[in-house]
Amino acid sequence: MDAIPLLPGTLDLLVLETLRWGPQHGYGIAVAIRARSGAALQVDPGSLYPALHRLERQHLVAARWERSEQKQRVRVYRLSAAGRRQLERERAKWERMAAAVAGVLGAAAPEPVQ
Amino acid sequence: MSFRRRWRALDEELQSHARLAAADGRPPGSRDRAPDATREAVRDQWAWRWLDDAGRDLRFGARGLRRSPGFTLAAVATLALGIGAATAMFSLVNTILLRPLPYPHPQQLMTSNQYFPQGAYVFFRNRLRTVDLAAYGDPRSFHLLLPGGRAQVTPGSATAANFFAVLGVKPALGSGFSTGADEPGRGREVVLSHQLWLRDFHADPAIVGRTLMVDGEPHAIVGVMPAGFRFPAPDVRLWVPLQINPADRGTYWYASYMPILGRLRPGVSRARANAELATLTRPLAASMPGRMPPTTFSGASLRPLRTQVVGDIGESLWPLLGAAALLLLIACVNVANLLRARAAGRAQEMALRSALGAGRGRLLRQRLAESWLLALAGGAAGAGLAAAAVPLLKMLLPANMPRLAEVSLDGRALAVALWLALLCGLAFGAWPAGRQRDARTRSTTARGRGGQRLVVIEVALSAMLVVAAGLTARSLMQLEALDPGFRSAGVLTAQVTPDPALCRPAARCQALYAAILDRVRALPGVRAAALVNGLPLGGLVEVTTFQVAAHLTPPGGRHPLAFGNIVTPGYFKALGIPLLRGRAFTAADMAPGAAPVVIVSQATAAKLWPGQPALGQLFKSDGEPQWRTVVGVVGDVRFSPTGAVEGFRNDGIYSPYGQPMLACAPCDTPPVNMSLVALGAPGAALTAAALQHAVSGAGPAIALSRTEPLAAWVSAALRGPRSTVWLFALAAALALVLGAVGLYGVLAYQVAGRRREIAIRMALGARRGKVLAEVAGEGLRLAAVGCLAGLGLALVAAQALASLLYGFNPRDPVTYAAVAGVWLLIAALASALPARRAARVDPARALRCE
Repeated sequence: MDAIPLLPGTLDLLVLETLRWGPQHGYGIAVAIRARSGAALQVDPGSLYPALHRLERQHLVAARWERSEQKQRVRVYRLSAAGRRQLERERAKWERMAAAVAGVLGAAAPEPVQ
Repeated sequence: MSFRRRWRALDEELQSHARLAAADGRPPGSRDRAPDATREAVRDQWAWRWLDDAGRDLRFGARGLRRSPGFTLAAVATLALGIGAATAMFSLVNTILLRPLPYPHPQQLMTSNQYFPQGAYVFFRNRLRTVDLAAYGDPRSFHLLLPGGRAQVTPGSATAANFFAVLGVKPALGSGFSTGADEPGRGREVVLSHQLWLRDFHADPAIVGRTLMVDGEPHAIVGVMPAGFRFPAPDVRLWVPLQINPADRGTYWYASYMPILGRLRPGVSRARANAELATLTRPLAASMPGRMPPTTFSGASLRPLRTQVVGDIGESLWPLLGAAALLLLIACVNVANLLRARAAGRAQEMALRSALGAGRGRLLRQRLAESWLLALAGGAAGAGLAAAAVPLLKMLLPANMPRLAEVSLDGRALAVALWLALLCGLAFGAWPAGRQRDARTRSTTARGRGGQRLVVIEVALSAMLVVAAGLTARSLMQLEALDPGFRSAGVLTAQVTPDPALCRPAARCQALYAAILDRVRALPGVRAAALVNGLPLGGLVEVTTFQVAAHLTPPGGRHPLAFGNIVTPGYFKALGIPLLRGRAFTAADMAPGAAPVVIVSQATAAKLWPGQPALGQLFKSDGEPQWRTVVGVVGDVRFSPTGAVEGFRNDGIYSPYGQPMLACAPCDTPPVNMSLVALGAPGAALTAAALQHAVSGAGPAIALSRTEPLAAWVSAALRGPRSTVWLFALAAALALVLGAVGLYGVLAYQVAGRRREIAIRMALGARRGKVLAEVAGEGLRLAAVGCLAGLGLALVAAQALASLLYGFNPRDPVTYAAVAGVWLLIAALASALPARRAARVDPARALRCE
């Protein structure tokens, strides 16, 4: 499947959702988003890290240097309580928006006039 | 986290990302394995974000400032005053004291620390290998006969032929002095200043090669200097070559002492040049005719020309710059206070925005942006103010201040203004912003304390400035109140400069002056008229060294010094100088072959012959062949306006015009240029025009200059100190206004914040008078604390003013007490309005508002 460019504003939501499943480093987050979207969503590191640092400054995620299983130094991000609340708000917004967009698109679909 | 640490952390994180991707089997070309490209992308995003934020902060700040024009205007005006004053003073100090002289390789230019006769100059010039030398005479008056027959006095300098070459300045027109123009038997040459050429020769482009009568002799005009060239003094308008003639031994070795200009040859240090000079002083003394002690010139050395040009002007300029800096500091504190009060007024807005999710850093940045905008606006307005103030300063300061004409608002001063503005922005932006951070957790009273502290600082700085102004003003008053020792009321003076050709031989000169005096005395209403070689108080009377027969100065010892006056009979009467003992000069003393006599001032008599009668004592000037007899003692006169000359402030000696001259020991000709003093009867209309008419009738081409009442001359003598006092007074007045506004602001803010509390207390029965006294008392208390601190600081700092006080006590208790009194009065006025407002609080209404 071909990669789809990310819609603006959705990266934060995807990152927060990924972290809901447990702490993860940047590369792990990119891999997880790729895998769970069936490789449809490709996260460029040039967008991922600014997003991670932005979320960190807003105290939505917390970061710490740790040792990975391969004994490598990696920076691990975990969701904060504020981040969890933000995720719920953003998710609700997204779902309403997706439904609304789908509704509009559905209504606009050509249907045979009786 | 600092910016650099943030970058390092990101770098490490991207490296680890690339390693993880490689271990995961991502292809080598993938973005996951290119940390450098990623870093570029991140940097772009961060930079944009920063710019975006900064732009938004500035827009937001500008909007906030527009919304409160009163506050913005007050802050910008305050800052503009402080920055404008500091910039203008810095422009002045930078040009006069710091900027190199406007000649090529100015660091090579030196001047001698003492005066030398022509012979010494030639001796050094022919031997020194490390320096090129050129002598230049002190400025003196030259007699010009302009085309059309108009006689005019023009200040000029006689210089060595290579003078312009050593300075490194070429004439704008013509080629300057020819080589060897200062040697005997050469045709006379003259170089004009740009100003003289413009004013009296109508900028004639074909002027070079024409002939000009200078001091009664034809001179070929060989050059016109570029505009702005004014060495060795600001008022010099022409240059002629020296006449160096070894055959004229008296002039060559003893008269015509002058400073020597030197240019170090490339690669030579001042120390090396001085070392070479030191090896030559003994041979020089030995080669002089007459027995000179070998140590005669042992102290000779070269020092940078700039120190000589600038002289001790720094002593008055640095304190003025200090005053301007204090004013800037006060302005900054005042603006900090304004910002603080504004922040308190906006606490609610800030709290609201903080609750809406604005980060703490963001709020701080916005407030900083606001103060930077203020600082920039204040800086721009201040630069404009300084641009207007610099010409005013130049008018106010004495015209003979060195390099004053060069002063302009320069780029460096503007840069400094901008820096000051930005620094101010940081200083007073950060403080209230820092305060704001924990504003929510503090009580109202605790918040009030910051403003009180600021106001105390402000009052202290302002009190310091007022003390400085008070001290300089009182020292000036003391100088002005000093008895000059002569009477100036009703006396008209003028400087007479005849064609020097009329003074050769000397008898003709004497006849000419006798004719002038006769004609002046014949004017209606003239009660006395006389001539003197230099008016007192102007610092123009020459200092002479002399010997006393009763106790000869041992060889090598220091001769006594005094101001040597040459006068005609009637001088003491015209100026009302009391004759204490003996007799005044008579016409017989001026006759050829008359016995040599001298009159001394009381101070001189007391110093030279303590406890003995001065009359009949013998006395002579250095180099004079005969002893003079003291025939009279007169009252003391002040020769120097500030009494700065150490040890002989009032010591004057007088010799009659026509006898061998005291001030010019070896010359046998009387001085050519004299000052005329004419005492008019009370109510007599003795006018400059009448004087001019009388004098010009005595002979052809007699130039009369500086015709003015003696009182004007006396007043002009103190122009320098007076301008300093005015500048200090201006700074002090501004400081007082700023301080009063600051105090008023803090009290008004406190009263506004305490309305509720005051209302409750009034509702409970507190009397209005008590509330009034409380607020006013608070203002007075703040002012008293600040004032005390300021007076204490001033006591320490006043030492720096010592050179401007002319002996006045820098700890003068009257000044300090007066400043305290003035400040308490100001404080009372500044407190009155807030106190009245507090007392008028209507409890019912104030409480209903809450």
